[in-house]
Amino acid sequence: MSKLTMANRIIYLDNAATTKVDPEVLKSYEEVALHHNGNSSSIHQVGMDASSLLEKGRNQVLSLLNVSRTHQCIFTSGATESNNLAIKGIAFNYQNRGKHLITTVIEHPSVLNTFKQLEELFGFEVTYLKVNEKGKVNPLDLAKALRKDTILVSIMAVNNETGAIQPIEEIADILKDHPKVYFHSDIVQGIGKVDIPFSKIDLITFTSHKIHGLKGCGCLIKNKSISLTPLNCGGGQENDERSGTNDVAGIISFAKALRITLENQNQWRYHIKNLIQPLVDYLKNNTELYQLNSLPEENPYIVNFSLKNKKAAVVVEGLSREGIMVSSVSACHSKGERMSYVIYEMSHDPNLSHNMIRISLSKDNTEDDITQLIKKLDQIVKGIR
Amino acid sequence: MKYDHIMVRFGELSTKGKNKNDFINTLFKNIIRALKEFKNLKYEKRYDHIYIILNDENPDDVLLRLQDVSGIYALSLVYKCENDLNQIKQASLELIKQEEGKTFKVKCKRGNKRFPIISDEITRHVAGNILSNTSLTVDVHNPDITLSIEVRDEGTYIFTKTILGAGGYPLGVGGKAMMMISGGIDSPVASYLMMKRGVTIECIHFASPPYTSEAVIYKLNDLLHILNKYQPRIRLHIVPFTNLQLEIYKHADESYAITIMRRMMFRLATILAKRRNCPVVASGESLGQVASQTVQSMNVINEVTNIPIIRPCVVMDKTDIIKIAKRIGTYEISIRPYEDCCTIFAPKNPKTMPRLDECKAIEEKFDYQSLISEAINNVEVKIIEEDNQDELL
Repeated sequence: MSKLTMANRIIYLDNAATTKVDPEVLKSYEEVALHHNGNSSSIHQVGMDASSLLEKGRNQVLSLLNVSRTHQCIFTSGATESNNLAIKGIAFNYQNRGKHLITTVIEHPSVLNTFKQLEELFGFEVTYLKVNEKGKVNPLDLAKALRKDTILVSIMAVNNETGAIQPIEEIADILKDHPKVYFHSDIVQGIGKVDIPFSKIDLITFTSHKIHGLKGCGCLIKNKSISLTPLNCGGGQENDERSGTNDVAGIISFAKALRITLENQNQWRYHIKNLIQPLVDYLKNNTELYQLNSLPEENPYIVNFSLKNKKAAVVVEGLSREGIMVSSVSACHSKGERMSYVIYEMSHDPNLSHNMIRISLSKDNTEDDITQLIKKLDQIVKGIR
Repeated sequence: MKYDHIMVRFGELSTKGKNKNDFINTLFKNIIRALKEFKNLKYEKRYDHIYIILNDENPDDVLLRLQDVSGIYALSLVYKCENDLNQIKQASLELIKQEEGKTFKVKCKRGNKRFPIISDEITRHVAGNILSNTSLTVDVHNPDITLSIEVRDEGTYIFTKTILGAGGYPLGVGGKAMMMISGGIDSPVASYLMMKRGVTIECIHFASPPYTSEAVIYKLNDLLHILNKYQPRIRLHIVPFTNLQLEIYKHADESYAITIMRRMMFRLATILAKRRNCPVVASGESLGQVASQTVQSMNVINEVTNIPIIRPCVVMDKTDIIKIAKRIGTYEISIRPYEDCCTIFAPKNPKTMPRLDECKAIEEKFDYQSLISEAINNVEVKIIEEDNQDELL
């Protein structure tokens, strides 16, 4: 039997990695998969039924973000694909205007490695903006980095490790004076959690499984005036910009997950804000053991801290044995002895970067989850060598 | 300081004499229906304005929705205070501070003559207060900011910005039309223009399956869904046109086929219009756009009916029609590439100057009357309504 059975129940505190599927969302998925299973590209009735449903889903996503007039929605397989499509799609399509791109040092690997590939294989030049000790980009640095040949700026709305909110509004306002520089933002960790000026962003990435939907479905919201060089060539779906048979069930359940999330966002935020306060107090009262890396008063969904003199891997393992799931160095590459490049960019301290722990919450967490976490964390940290 | 009301001003209603009350009541109902998603709003109906009390709803979202309601001339976000000079002065100052600009002008109307201070003096008091507390200067000819004050029985309304509404008449006051709709760019625009003049529409569509695709019906559904913004419930009559169309092509010279086809369509539309109590038929025709839309063609085609045919787009340029289509959001659906019954079997050289006697001679060759009855008896009706939230979504 797996180790999971060792504890009586699971306390899941890794919601920035993925969230529990909402049963209502799953119900829609099942209904569509069973009863609207046409290929939305077929021209017979079953196909058209699927396609009409798909378009309803698309319209709902756009109108929930209030961008129906200005933007289009391309459905993808998830945020990694959306980020690749946005960045490479712009880079390839507009490279005749210039080959300079700007991003930050704290982006998700699906953004960072896409830029690396553009540098290494396609001869683009990339400026990586630094962050301050709070993990935030300074908009003035962006203003300085802009050049005549800049074609794209990609800056995430909320960092996936620290939850730090980036100054998206200010960045968008700077870029308003540079109409030929497109602005992409990965808002995966921000949607439904913090306020985002959707209409001011040219390209927006987010995904279903971080908002209680299913894995395998995401989208790229894109200003209508922009064209992208497609990465998937094929049957011309999604306005010729992302070929491949549409996952109608995934898309419909995604649209529903988004509606539920946005309808409840204030309530959930309030719930989580109250929830984490004891944890924040505990961390702040034990500064000899912990350093708080996040700003929970700004974004309560992620509490990130470093262990000053213990190994995070050992603590995460210990918590896991107690049935408490938290994350250390970001899930995308936590295998192997690596450190958090995000915390390193903020602190320049290898020890803190190596021994980072991320607690990420969702509406489903309870007061008791946090009480248990504090109790076990305290025991483990004080108990181990 | 937050604006707490929206002031709705009527357009041409004021010319309507005794009917004015009916018009206002209809508009009032239409506004409430259009704003039903905003649960906290409250409404006040008065003889010359309608007031919407915001109760913390987002004013921009409410205004955007109101701009689709016909019969509204203009909209202003207003602040309401008591009929008290000090309050008026204070509120005016606060409101003007929120505006951008260097120069201003104050306008005042005193509908409530029991208020002891005349308009001109109110203006002086308010402007004086603004001058001594801000760096703004007065410019009565080209001010950056115009502050308007209206003193009424129930209170004083202050506002700085006015946006134009859709104009026209409230939907429902102008009777009903049978609208011929193909799924192209023009007919949805014509429908919108009819609705804007207060006319409710029912739609008639000619389908020629299997030569035309079922996709056209989906397309119409999507188009009418967009028009649901203006008319929440639209009845669509789908007329089976295949048999009639095949007969026409059997008996008519190719160059006359379109003309005869259009004559049949107008016959069918007339019958349905009378049956559904529509005093007029409307279409999206625009002069000269295609062979059947020249003045000579219109004359020959129109000959089959004595019901008025309204063509709202008749003298508009295609580019202007497209502009409206894009604004109301029908354009992107209209350009989906499906054939309709006018484009299948389209002749290479249709007559632009058809002759009536020729048409009559062709129509004598076959029994179109019974085909028309057959079509009318097999009309399929669909109701297209504003969506309730789809359970799946």
